[in-house]
Amino acid sequence: MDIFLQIVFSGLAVGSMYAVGAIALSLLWGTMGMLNIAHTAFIALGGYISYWTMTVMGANWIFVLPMAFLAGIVMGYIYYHLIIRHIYSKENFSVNIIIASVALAALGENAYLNLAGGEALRQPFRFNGGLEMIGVVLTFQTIFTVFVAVLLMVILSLIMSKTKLGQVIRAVSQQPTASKLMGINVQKSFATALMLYGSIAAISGVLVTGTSQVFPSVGYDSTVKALVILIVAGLGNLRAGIFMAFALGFLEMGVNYVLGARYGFPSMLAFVIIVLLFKPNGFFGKEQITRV
Amino acid sequence: MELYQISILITAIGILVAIVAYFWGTSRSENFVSKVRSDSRNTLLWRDFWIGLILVAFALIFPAFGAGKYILGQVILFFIWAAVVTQWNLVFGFAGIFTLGHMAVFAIGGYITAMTGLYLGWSLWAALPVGALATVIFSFLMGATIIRLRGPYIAVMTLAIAIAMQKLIVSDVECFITKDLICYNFTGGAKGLFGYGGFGFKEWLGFKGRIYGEYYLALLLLILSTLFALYVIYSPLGSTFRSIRDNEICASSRGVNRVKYQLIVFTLSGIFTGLAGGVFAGLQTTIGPNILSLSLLLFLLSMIVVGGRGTNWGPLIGAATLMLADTVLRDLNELRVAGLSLIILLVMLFLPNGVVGLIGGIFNWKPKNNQSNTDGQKNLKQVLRSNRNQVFKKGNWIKSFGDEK
Repeated sequence: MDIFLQIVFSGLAVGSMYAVGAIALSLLWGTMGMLNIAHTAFIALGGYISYWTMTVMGANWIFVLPMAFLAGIVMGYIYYHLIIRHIYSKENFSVNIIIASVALAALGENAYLNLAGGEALRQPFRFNGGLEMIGVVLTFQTIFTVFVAVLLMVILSLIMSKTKLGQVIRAVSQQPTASKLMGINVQKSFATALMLYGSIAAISGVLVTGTSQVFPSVGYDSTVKALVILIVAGLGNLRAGIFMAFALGFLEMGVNYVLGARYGFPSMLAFVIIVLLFKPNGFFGKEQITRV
Repeated sequence: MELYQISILITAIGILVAIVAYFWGTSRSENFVSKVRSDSRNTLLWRDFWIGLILVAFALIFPAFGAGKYILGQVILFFIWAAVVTQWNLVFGFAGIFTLGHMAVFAIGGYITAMTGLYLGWSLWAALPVGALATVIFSFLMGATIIRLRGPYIAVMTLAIAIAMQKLIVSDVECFITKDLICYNFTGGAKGLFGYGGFGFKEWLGFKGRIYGEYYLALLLLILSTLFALYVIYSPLGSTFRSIRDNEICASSRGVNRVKYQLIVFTLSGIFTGLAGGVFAGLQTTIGPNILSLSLLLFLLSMIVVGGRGTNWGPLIGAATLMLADTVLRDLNELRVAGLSLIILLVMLFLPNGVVGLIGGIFNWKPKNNQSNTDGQKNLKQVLRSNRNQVFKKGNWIKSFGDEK
């Protein structure tokens, strides 16, 4: 029983991290149709900002999330105007941006390596302790991450459905030319979406590094996992993405406990591939018909 | 100037001459694209034949220039990477399967060859075909699982497969066999496989002649790999992929089965990728999980991107350029990866068709005219700016709404 509970708790912790990543990445897919491997640089950004704010500057923990928020906004803005904008204006955007973002991920990793050094640093923004149930501990960090994941999802859904910003982003993603004719500034709304994405990604970086340490390639694993999760859930479906994040988190942790830690990710990938063999558009995805 | 710099310069000049010759032959036509599409297959075939002959002749006599061991080593590495990239380009640029997991296919070839040598005690010459066969099987399985997905999905899934493979290898700690008191993990673990012997050049050609044996073996690999790629491009398969690339819907309505032909090319590209893996393992005498690392993936990917995706000689040019850039960047060792990624980003931003596209663009440069507005890539703003009167003509109107991203 307590092994089962242990699997549930660690699955909850891992799943909530994947979920936060999936939320941010699915915003980008929904807006511009891009899969962003440079997400790993944003995660590391959150971790290093947290380390810098608390350990180097010695500031209070209250400042960590706002600092990550700001840094994410700035990086998202730069990312859009330096790179994405120019690739978006050419053909084959969805594949070219993957190549460019792989390069950007490596560039980010190298920048952190040269600026902060390669050694793993302890990320100070974390909650110690937890609730004990039948000898198994549910850490406060897990509870907090789940809470933030759900909160981010709710906020993002509200922004996308209720506010003018969300309306603009949805309009632009459906019909860029028509919305331009209606007087929407397409560049600006894409830039806003990227800033929103950057802030969410950097905050998720603070949470993800809270259970491990901060090192240049810290976000690589969870980025690839979040992308795989989005694909198996069917891209563009936020709720299915969150559900899949938790389901695959439980699967991975279950395999980790039963077969050993090295089979966690491969078995998760095998599951995803089997699903995609039967449903190439994802578990909850619908077949997309393009009119010509 | 040192000797090795001179010979690198000569190589670069040779390649540049070949490029110029390449486009000299095609530049007489007014429109490059229409020439390619028209029935000029034989002209192109002869052009590729002469370029290939010049390059091969140059490569054959290259060691006679008295290049040192270091340069020959670099050139051998260049041959192997160029062979891999040629096959990757066949899949990625030509058949339109956007795989980022090609290094996993390469790794399977290298590892199976090394394991056959190590555990069965076979000579590496006998192990090479085994490795190639295993690679073909692996790439068939991998292709069968991913090819039905859409483009960007394939990129992420293949990248995930390569990462999962690297994780499985690195975390392997159980002893599989114990030889001479050394514990060998089945996959070699994080430190890699070693001690499976080599191709025996040292015994045949002596300590000094060994490097020449390795050189010509790698050259043979590259020649065969390029011949195979050219064969695919000029075969009916090549026409199939050109039709899919030009208009997928039209091709499928004519009965072209995209999935089937993509799977065929993906599987076949495993042969020479696997052989390249085996030759790499044999020449390096050790193979480890670092061939699945992000930096090597980036290195080879930038060869394709810089050279020009989907072009016949682009990968070769890209491999040569990147090997030169790498020799320069090696001195900045910590910034090497940053330099590579900057190269990729700059090429993606300014030269989306790579060096080959740039040269083709110079030869086929034409002053802009109003015709270019119907290219379908221009957005409404540019149309508005360039000729206001034509906006409400039917063709432009439909165009500006019709091209959905």
